[in-house]
Formats: sequence, structure tokens, C-alpha cells
Amino acid sequence: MGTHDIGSVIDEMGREPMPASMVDVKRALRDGRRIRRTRRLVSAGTVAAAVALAVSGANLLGHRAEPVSVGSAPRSFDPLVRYAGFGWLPAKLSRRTTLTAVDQLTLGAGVADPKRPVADDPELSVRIYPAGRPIPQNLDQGPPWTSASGCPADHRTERAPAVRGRSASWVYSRGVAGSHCRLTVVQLRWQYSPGAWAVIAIGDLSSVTGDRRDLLRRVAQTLRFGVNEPVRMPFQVGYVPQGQHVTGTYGAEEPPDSGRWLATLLLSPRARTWAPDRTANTSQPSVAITLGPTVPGMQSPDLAPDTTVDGHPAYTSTLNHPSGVTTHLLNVYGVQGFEVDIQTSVGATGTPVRILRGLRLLGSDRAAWTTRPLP
Amino acid sequence: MNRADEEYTARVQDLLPRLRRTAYLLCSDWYRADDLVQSTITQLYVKWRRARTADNLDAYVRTMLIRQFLGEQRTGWRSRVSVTDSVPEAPGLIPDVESGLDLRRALEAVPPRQRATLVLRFFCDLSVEQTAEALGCSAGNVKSQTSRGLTALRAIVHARPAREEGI
Repeated sequence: MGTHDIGSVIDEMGREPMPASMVDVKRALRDGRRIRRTRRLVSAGTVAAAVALAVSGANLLGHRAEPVSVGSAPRSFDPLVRYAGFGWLPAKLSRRTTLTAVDQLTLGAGVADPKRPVADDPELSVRIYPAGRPIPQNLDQGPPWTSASGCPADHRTERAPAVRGRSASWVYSRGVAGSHCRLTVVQLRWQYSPGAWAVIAIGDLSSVTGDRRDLLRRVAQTLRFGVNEPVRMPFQVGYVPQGQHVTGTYGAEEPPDSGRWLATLLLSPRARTWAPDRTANTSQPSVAITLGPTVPGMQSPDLAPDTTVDGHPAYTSTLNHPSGVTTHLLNVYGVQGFEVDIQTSVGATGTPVRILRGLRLLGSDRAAWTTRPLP
Repeated sequence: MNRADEEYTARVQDLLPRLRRTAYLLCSDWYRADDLVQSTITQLYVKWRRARTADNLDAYVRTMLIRQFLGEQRTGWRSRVSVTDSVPEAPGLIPDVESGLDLRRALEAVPPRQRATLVLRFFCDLSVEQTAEALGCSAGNVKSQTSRGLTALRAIVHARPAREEGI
């Protein structure tokens, strides 16, 4: 049996009739979307594309922010404490997202749009790193500048005017959508405190009237550091898989009267403090628990229930990663008026249900929410 | 469904027949093959923003499929979730070189990495270098895996007359 024989027989096998496919592309979309959302939380530098902001160039150019004392930046963040907050923002960006983790705090601001998920990528995001933490190199490779096909993916860094007296730089790219392959500002990076860096990333604000650099500088100059506000979560977790700790939280909300919000608690076996010698402090979480109001057709329009859990309509799925890790997905609707989404990559198949049964939901009134979500 | 999702769906629908066949040659079982493809296209969606700009999406997804397959073998995920302790021995396992069916069974007996190499080389018509890229190894490794895979296939096929003759 020669090579040619094997090749021809394998080729022949490849032409045999196939049975009906059990591959479900819609299911891949549903599962992939959920996993992508959780992953995006820990790479929250992503910013959405294409939004029109009316930014007055003259107004921005004339702005002189009051110097704000930042003080010493911590060497690690507490994921249950929000270290910093926005100051000035364009009025149109009324949607807020916040990711807290030991090695980064990411604040997002986006357009409130009832047609988009409340946790969609914001148009503008600020990543704040603890002291001693370098800006990850992969920020240079990621969105937004790989989003425009056909343009060179190169980018350029250039010195920027100091921000609050500290060194700063612009990052330009040709690849950002709407740039027509021209070098366009996509980031402002600066030291907000000795040895501590922050990065503002902006999507394709192609309709911005005025200089994008002025917008970024104004947001940077008015950021409030040292806020140290405890993060409040709308649930308490009764069952925690062994060895899991809180390593992050995520919250998204539109203006208070919209009723559109969600909150996510991220657990993983990582240390609770960031250490410079670890390269994956913000790795993918082992457990992600998300809660939000059930708005028919809004939260997860494509997650049709396929089972019930404790009498509630639910959607379950399992995904096997090439690394051998198995992720279990559980979405449950109408639990005291909320939608619960649990993703686990630890424990057995029944772990998400066990977590669900141990949850104590605290309602929509933020005054009743807790700053201690774990027992 | 937004434009990116529509584009993903259309591209995946185009790729599916070839992906399923490749997966089947790797798994020798249509149920497992479709599971493998399902996991692969889900991973593809997760990476779609980057994947859609790939010069050759077909090759990109095929590489994902192969690595998904090898990953499952390496970690023993399949054996852990198998519904039976072992696959029952099927009658007619002695291969017939004249029959594709028997070669398929012989292929199933070849170790997974060698099988993946043979499928890439002889079904996907990849060069040694392209196969090396898909498997994430050197060209020399592909050559040795191909050689070992062919030797294993020949050994299985040649076992038949000996067994038939009662030796």
C-alpha cells in the first residue's frame, strides 16, 4: 500500500455521503456570545466603534482642569473596591461600565441604546493599572485598530503634553474603523502617579466635531483617583466552589430610570493581590455569576430556554476548549424577576445549579445590595 | 443579528461540509465529529473579530479543528465523559485494503497525532510546511509523523492475510 493508494482512498472516504448534520450554528452563536462577554470583562480595553459625539473643539481647547492630587497609587487593587471614577464626560455617554480586578480597574462610558445590550463595549474606556504594573503589550495588538480590514495594522506612539504634570503619550493607528487608513488617535497613555499608568482608549468616533486628543485629555485630567468606593453587588453567594476567591467584579448600567443594568462577580483561584512576577493575574475566571433584570426580548434575546431549573425556564450548554477545560453555561429566567447567568470551568456539570440554589438575591434597590458577596 | 453575526453565519455555513468531513476522518464517528465541529465553530465565534481578517479562513478554522481534536485526546476529555467504559470490539476489524471502510478502521487505530498528520497531508492536501503550521510543530516532525502513520497503517493492513491464514 503506497502513499498514493492511501491518499486516493482517504479522498474517496471524504466524498462519501454525510448523515444529517447535528451542528447547530445558532447554538454556536449563543454560546460564543456568552463566553465572549465574560472574556471581554478581563480584556475590557475594547471600545465600540462608530458613534457620533458632539464635542466642541473650542470648548475643549479652552478647558483648564484643576490640578488634582493623585497621591501614591496602590500596588494592587481590591476587586471589591472601586479606586477611581470618571470626572467629565460628554453628555451623550450616559452608559457606564466598571470592571474591578486586582491588576486593573477599567471604567467605560458608552451611548445608552435600548437596542444594544447594556454590557456592550463602551465607546470610551479608561484602564487604570496599579503601581509597578506595566501596560500589557497585548494592548498594542488588540482592538480597536485591528477592526478595519484593508488598512495596515501598524501604529505609532508620540509624546503628548503632560497630564497633571506627568509624562504622557498618544497612540495613533491606521487600522481603526472609519479612519480611512489615516493615522488616527486611539489612545492616550500617561502616568497618573509615579510608576502607575492609565490608558484611555477611544473607538471610531468618526463624527466627533473637534479634536479627539482634546476629548481624551479632558477625560484624563478630570478623572478622580483614590475614590475607594466599595462595590455593591445585588446578590450573595451561598455556595463557592473550593479554592475560589473574588478576583473581579463587573457592573453595567444605563441612566437610573432605565431599569437596565447587570452585575457580574468573577471568581478564580488566583491570589487576591497582584504580583509583578505573575503574567496572568487577570486570567479567565473559573466562575462568573451575572444578575440582571429580566426584560423580555432584551437581555438575551437569542437564548431560548431549553429546559427548566427549579421550575424556571433555563438554557444550558457545555463547551469543551482545546486546552481540555470544560465550561458549563447556565441561564435561568424569572428568578424573583431576574435573569441569572452562571458560567463555570471548575467542578462537575451540576456546579452552576448548585451555585444558583445558594444565591440570595437582594432586589433592585441598591440600598439593599451588599459589599460582601461571599460568605 | 448584527452584520458581523450574519457574516459569521454565512461563512460557517460554507465551511461546514468540509469541516464535518475532516472531523469525521479524525474521529471515525459522526456524533463525535459533529461535537468536535460544534466546539470549533463556537470557539471561532469567540475569536471572530480576529478570525474574520485571516487571509485564509478555511485554513484558520481547520487549524482550530485539529487543535481542538488533539487537545481532547491529550487531556483525555473524551474518555472521561464517555458513556461506556470501552468501545465494544466491532466485528470485521480486520481491514480490507480494497475498501475505504476498512481503511477508515485502520485509520482509527493509528495514534491521534499521526492520524491528524495523515488527514492533513492526504485529505486536505497540505504540504509538509502547511501541515507543520497547522499542528504547531516542525516540518521534520510532520515527516516523521507521516512516516510512522503510514507504517502503522501498513502494519494493520498487512496483519489481515496473516490472520486469515491462521498464522
